[in-house]
Amino acid sequence: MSYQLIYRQYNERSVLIQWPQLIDQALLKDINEFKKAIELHFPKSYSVASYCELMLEFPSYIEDYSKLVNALKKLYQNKKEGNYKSSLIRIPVCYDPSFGVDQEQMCDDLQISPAELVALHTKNTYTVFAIGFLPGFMYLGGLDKRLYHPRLIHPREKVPKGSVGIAGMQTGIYPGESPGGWQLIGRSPLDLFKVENDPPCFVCVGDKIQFYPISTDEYQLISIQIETNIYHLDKTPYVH
Amino acid sequence: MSIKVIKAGMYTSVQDLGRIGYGEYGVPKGGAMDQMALKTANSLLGNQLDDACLEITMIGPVLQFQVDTYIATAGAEFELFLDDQPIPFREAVFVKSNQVLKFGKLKRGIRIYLAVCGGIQTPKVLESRSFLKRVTPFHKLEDGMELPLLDKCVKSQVFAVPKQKVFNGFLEVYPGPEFDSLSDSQKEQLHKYEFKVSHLNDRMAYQIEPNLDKHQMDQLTSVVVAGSVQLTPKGSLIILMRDGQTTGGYPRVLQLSEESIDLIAQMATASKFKFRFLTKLKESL
Repeated sequence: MSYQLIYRQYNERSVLIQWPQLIDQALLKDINEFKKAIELHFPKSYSVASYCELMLEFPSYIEDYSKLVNALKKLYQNKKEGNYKSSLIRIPVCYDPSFGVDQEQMCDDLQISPAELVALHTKNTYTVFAIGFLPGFMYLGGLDKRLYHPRLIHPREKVPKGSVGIAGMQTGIYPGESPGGWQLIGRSPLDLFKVENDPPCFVCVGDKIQFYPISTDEYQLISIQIETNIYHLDKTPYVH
Repeated sequence: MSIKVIKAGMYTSVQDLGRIGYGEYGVPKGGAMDQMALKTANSLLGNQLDDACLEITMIGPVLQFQVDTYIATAGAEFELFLDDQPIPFREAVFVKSNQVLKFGKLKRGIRIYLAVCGGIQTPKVLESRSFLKRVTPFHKLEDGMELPLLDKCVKSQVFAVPKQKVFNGFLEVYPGPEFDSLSDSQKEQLHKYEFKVSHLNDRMAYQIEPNLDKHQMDQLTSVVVAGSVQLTPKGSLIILMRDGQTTGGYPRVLQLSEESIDLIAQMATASKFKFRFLTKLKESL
């Protein structure tokens, strides 16, 4: 797959590479393949992907922009498909109402039962289209339409770390305690961002996420496993 | 060997040139707001340019040195007193163990950088010592803290000291990726208006006034860096600074030059400026 890309110099040391404005998994794969090819060719460069673009930064000022763009275009033409493998990560979520404090109201609004809410939330495989807003915060695509729900009118001052929420057509996990207006449906014991981990976040843009339900007891058990460093993350290569 | 923080000041933090390579996990680069000033302070002592300094904002701390060392300052101009005796700004100064450094009146700018021989040795987190919320244990100094230093101070030879850029009323900007989607009237406003730093300004972002015309541009979450200027639907302009988030959902209408990020980092609430457009950066298919 090959797209018509736009290259623009963003500032003294960065180039922004833009794909067509689409929310699309094949396009995300193409971005990641190009990202990988650039990293191999320019080992000192550093890039961040998001939905339909790649921001490429160099440690020093770009001296010859035309030369750089020509090199990038060549890399894009010659890049090999499949040089990049995304991962499928299964994330445990406890949907107990003590964590999913907005579940009852949401179920009322959406006219579904709590069991249906859990079934709908755990059925789909989500795609990570961006990571930002907070360290380790995933922008996930793929929420079932039946779970679309507006955010809270009055955001909370404190949302606990690990809270799983829904806002509009998005779902996600709060990687740390923060203020927030998402409707909370559960909580995950996993650390989406922890500086002691290497890398500090186990998810990359382009990865796939599946949620699976756990009981409060399992939540406690996994929390202890994480604390004592014996938890094994369920992460496998994703087969397209 | 350390510095004892007797009083922390208004907002004092340890900063180097920030953490590179963690943006893909949503971690801002962080680092000194005025990077040239940090480099200047370090170079006055012959330190590495990216050694960690104290970034001191508006109201300075009271610091007691527990080692003989050299210090140097750059960036904002404060009155400086070592054991109540005035000491010069932008010069290497020898400090004896137990001496107390105080900051007096602020004369120009808002952020001063205090370099210490060999750099401040607080632990690195994700390859940088820069304080950052959610990443380092502290985001600013607290009374009573001890800041570790190297055991032995060896003042290196001083090479070139960077010249300080002087603010001339303008911040230099490049048109951002979404600049072309603005209306003619919004473009003219960016060219002509005199802007003012609002009271909403910190290490994450500077909001500026007045607003431009409202807009309804829809935008997928995109990558932003320090100096990216976002336009909210209400027409408000937000300049992202060093600790700003790594992705944003608003159109990126301008990008400040690196020098201009350092310049605005020294501007307090109500400071005025205009944008000067640099030649459009290149774009190619």
